[in-house]
Amino acid sequence: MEIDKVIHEPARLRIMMILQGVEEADFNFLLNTLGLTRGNLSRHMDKLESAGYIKIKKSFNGKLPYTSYQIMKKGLGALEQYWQNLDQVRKGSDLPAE
Amino acid sequence: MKNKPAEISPGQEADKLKEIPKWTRQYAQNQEALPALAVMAIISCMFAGILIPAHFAQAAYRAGNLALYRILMIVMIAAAASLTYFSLSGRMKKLIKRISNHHNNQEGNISISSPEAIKKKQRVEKVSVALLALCILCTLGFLGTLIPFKYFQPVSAIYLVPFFTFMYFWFRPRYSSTMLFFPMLYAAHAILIIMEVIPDKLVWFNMLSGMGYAFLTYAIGYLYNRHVLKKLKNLTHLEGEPADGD
Repeated sequence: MEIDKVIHEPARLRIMMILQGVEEADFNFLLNTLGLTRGNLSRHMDKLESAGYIKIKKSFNGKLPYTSYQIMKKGLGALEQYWQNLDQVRKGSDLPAE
Repeated sequence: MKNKPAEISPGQEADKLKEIPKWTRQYAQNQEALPALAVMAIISCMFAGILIPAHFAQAAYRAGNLALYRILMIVMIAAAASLTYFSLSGRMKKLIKRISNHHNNQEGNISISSPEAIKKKQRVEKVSVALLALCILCTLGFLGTLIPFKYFQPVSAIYLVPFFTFMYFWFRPRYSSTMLFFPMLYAAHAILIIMEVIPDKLVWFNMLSGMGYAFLTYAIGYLYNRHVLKKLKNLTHLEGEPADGD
């Protein structure tokens, strides 16, 4: 059993959990909620997109560029698997040592 | 020196993180409360602009002060015209969009339902709104004849309460359950009028109760939204994030 390293990083795990709850979230919302720098957030989002866990949508709101993110089925599956694995690790660590 | 990134420790930390989707959804459901509250405040001011001059115009007419009566009537007509123009010209929509954009620039934007799902549901919404408008027109048409002024509120509750309750469930999970405060309060007010707990003298209070309850509902929604955002930030805020994102 292996813990997904892409999701296990604290910021990315929180991003995935936020996106799991909604249809889509924009860059400003994630920036404001997580308290990351713009550059850091962009890098995390790129890593999650490269893993196929999220979809990045770029558009314009009037004249301003607008970026929003959506979690993909693969991402939902990976997140579910991550928690299952982590819960198993937790159960294992709760067992008394022989 | 950078702090060490927070590790996902087994136990409480993981359980707390599992609550993030729930609080994110609740934030999304109350996101429209602030623009709605602003619009309610503007409409309330416009209604006050009609009702206050109307009240004093009546008093001026009784006192025989026709000059003051005419001035107040002009103020009242101007307020009524601006309310109609504001509602029908699309300026209301633009204002809501401006307030929403300002809010979104500061806090960001999230959506709980896909635009396609909302579009499908909007057909039923349009029919329901048309039926509601018909009911309101009928009530206003029969007001003072078939429907006594004191029963305006209970009669309107017959269609307003089911309409808002239906809208909440139809668009579920788009809106927060705090939106149900409006039909609950409006129905309770109607029952109190029928039971004659609220005196007949308060006709204007009864007729404008809907606006007051709508304002209260959005205010509760907005306050709850602030609480949820605080909770969400407590769960998600990261300190000492490494610069390379790993």
